Amino acid sequence: MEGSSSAEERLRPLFLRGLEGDEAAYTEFLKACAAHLRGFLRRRLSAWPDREEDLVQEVLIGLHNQRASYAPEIPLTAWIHAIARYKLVDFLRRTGRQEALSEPLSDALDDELSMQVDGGLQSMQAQRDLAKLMAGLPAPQREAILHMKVDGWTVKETASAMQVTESWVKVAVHRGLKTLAAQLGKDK
Amino acid sequence: MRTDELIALLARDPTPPPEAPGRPLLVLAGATLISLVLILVLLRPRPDLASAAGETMFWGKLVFVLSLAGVGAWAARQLSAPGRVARAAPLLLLAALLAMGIPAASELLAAPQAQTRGALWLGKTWRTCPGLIAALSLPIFAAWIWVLRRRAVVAPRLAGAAAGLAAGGMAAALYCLHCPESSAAFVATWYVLGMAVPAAAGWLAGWRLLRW
Repeated sequence: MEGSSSAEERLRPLFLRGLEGDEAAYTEFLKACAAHLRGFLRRRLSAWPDREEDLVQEVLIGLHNQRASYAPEIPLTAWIHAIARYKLVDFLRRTGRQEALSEPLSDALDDELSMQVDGGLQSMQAQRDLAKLMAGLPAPQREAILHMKVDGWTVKETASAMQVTESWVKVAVHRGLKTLAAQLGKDK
Repeated sequence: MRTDELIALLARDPTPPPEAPGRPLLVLAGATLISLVLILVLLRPRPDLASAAGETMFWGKLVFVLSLAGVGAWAARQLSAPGRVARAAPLLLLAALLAMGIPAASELLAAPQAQTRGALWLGKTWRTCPGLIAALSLPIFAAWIWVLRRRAVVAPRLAGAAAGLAAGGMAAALYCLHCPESSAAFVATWYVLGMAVPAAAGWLAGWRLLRW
């Protein structure tokens, strides 16, 4: 992502010309803004890479609908970032609520949690932080996660190795991943 | 939809629709008038209003609640314009609360007996005061929400709380017409409680009411 001041210099004239009715300038503004937002959101949305473009679009619509709310004395990038941040928090709130609602265990959910953990890892500079977080999990959850996500075992294999039922493994992995995802989200 | 398709669609309409200037103020003023009429008709002004207007405390509590309303209104305005912040709001709020809290504390400490202390603190109307202020703030609070929903609120909880404070402060100012109490301890407790109710409601309902 380019620096905020150069983005400001590029976006602001386009936007102001757009407000005066210059469609070409407004198109340029929206395109440049979409690119800018991808950079802005990518770092903050690393847990949901597949939702990045949806959110870019939501922010663009938000900017467009609120374009009258821009006051010329505010830096344009501050205005854009405030709206992007708001839409991001709104998205995270909605996602959080959906996850709380779909509590029943599903592989899709666990995959998403794994992705969050992976995404969180990429954004964290050192993987040793994961070891630290893993150490904070209850031992059986940690063991189940290591078997399934690191060794690549199936639920059945993990269950027989740990001498527990398959549903116990699913619950343990799910809970452990959820804890990790929450902690990674907190650390960011 | 792909992003370039969306952009092409949005770009067809670059100029924002013209806003009717002054409409928010009109709505807020109308709601304040409703609360005023409710006070005059249902609660009646205090009978000794004319002589009370000569007392320092009558104006003291008015300035106090209006300054809280001002902080709330300013913060709500700031927080509904993306890119603006209201960093000074907590400090201003604290200053206003201390401006009433310190005289309240010294008044209670200076009271000769526990009995007078209780009378200063509870007055005659402590049971009804907070509830009435909160109830009277409802029309003004609704007007604030109407105004904020037409703007781009990027901090819904804070903006909701600020709008609640603005409405509560305004309602408390109107309530001064009716309220017979004149101790700082009373105002610092029961008025503040009455104004805190709409502020807390705004905080709790901010996301639901101000989402866009």
